[in-house]
Amino acid sequence: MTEVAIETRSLGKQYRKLWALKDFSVSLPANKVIALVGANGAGKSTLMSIAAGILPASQGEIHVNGRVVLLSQEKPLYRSFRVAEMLAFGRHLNRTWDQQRALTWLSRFDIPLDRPCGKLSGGQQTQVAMAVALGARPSVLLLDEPLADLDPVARRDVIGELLAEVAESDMTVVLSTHVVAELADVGDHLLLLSQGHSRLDGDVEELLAQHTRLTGPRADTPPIDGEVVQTQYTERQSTFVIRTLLGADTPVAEPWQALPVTLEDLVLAYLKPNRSLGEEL
Amino acid sequence: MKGLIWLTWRQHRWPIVISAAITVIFFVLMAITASDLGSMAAKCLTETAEQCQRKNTEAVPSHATYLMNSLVFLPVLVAVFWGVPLLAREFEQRTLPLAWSQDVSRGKWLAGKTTVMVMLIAAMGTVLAAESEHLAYQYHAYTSESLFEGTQFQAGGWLPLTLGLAWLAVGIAAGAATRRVLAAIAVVGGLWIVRMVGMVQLRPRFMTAVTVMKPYQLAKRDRSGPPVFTLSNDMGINSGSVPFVDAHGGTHSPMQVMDTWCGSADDMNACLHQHGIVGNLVKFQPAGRMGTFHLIENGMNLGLFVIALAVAWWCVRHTRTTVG
Repeated sequence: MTEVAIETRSLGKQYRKLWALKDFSVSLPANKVIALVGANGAGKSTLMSIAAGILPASQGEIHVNGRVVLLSQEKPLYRSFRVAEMLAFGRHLNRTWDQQRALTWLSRFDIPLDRPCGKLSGGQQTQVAMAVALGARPSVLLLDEPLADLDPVARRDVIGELLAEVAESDMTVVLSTHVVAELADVGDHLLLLSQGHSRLDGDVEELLAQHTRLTGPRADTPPIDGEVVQTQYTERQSTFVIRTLLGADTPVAEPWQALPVTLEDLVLAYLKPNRSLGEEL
Repeated sequence: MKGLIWLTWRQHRWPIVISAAITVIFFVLMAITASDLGSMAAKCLTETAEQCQRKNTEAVPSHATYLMNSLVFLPVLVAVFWGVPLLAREFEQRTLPLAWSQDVSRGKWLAGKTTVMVMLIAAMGTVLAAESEHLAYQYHAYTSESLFEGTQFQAGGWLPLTLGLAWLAVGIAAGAATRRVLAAIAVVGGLWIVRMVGMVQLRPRFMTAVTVMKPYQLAKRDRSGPPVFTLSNDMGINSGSVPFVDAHGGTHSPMQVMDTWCGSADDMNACLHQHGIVGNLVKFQPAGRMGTFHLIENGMNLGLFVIALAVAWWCVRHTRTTVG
């Protein structure tokens, strides 16, 4: 049986009249990279803050297995602290602290230890925040869109190093993003949020295997049974994204074609059923 | 706790160092001034009144006044430079999610940092309050100005200590409530003015004042012998406008007596006698109550300290660090 990192039961969070999360029940596996996807305002930050214990839930339960550390979108750092002092901050305020792990992370990205954080570039500040987060040796590391201000190469490097950290330890990483293109080759598990509810939750490979893109002549309904996730039309053509047991291996009659979907296609299909493919959320 | 001590020191080391330096400077200046005043008072006991002027406008008593007045204002600086930044600066720089997402809860974080600050202010306040009381006594010994009035009262009875603690807490609460440094400073400034004006009005009313009829005397000063000083520590309440009393017990305002009746009189004594004035109606708080008054005001300061910390605690508990 797969070990669980985070489990919620009927979790809800209400801000005045607005429910940021409602009746939210999921079970996220441990030692995986979990991609938490959703448009702005979907409830990603709220879920992470509740999981990190810095925001109380309005209803329901949440259980996090082990130590949890949240690295928020703003990547807050004390601007007057030198990088070495930020590590001292982590060492002083955490029961468990791995100085070597934090130093190794900083050295990978050539971050000077004696420079005040306020004088570092945005990307370097991200690395310092990551080092403080990793030094706390979390069982669950919650990353709330922290890579947004990195250039694509740096982002890929960071994700690569993170995946290596996950492989070398029993850490679970929950990576929240609304940039669908960022997801490629990152997540083992996908949790897709929309308006405070879970729209899709499962192992990425299994989910991809269960979905197919059907292309054929203009028709109101697809030629096979299954849950229609997305429907798109041109003058003479229909495209359906369907969830079926066999996915792209489902036999279809000519002239229809069943093609596999990418993770990006899948996410967009669920989040924006009538939106053009490839568009950022 | 060790970690929070380190964090508090690292984040607030400049206010701490500067405050420690100010404490040392104030202590030394007050000690020197008190010593000078003590020597001058002792010397006066052997001199005639003409030789010993005992004017509070002389250099040394003036220094004492400046020092005591400055000391009375230090608590508002504690609020601005220690209390306000504790939370307001963290709100402005959005560093609270970082601090509160470590292994220290927000409650422990606030309690730990506040405790460190309270201990430091208590230590500095104790040193300054002890020496300021010494200075006030020497000032009183030389000038004979009442210890129960004005700056001398506020410099004594450990008031600088409790006032410093109270305004540290007020600064923290203002920062927690406004979440902006400048707004919190404005709130602290406003509250300080309200407190100053309010206490001037309120202090004489802590207890019902004593009223006595002081017979009108035409005593002439004997300047031949050693000066005789009444070291009264009463708090005069109607010192500015003491009513006159006639032989039948009727009271007359100073304006009526001094302006209307005797304003143009050549012989004031004859004029007063002519109108049957036999004395003044003096209202005051007796010197014996000074300890009680200090106790009441210290109690108010500590009450403010507790209330302000409760406000800060409530604000921190209800702070939302993220929006979904």
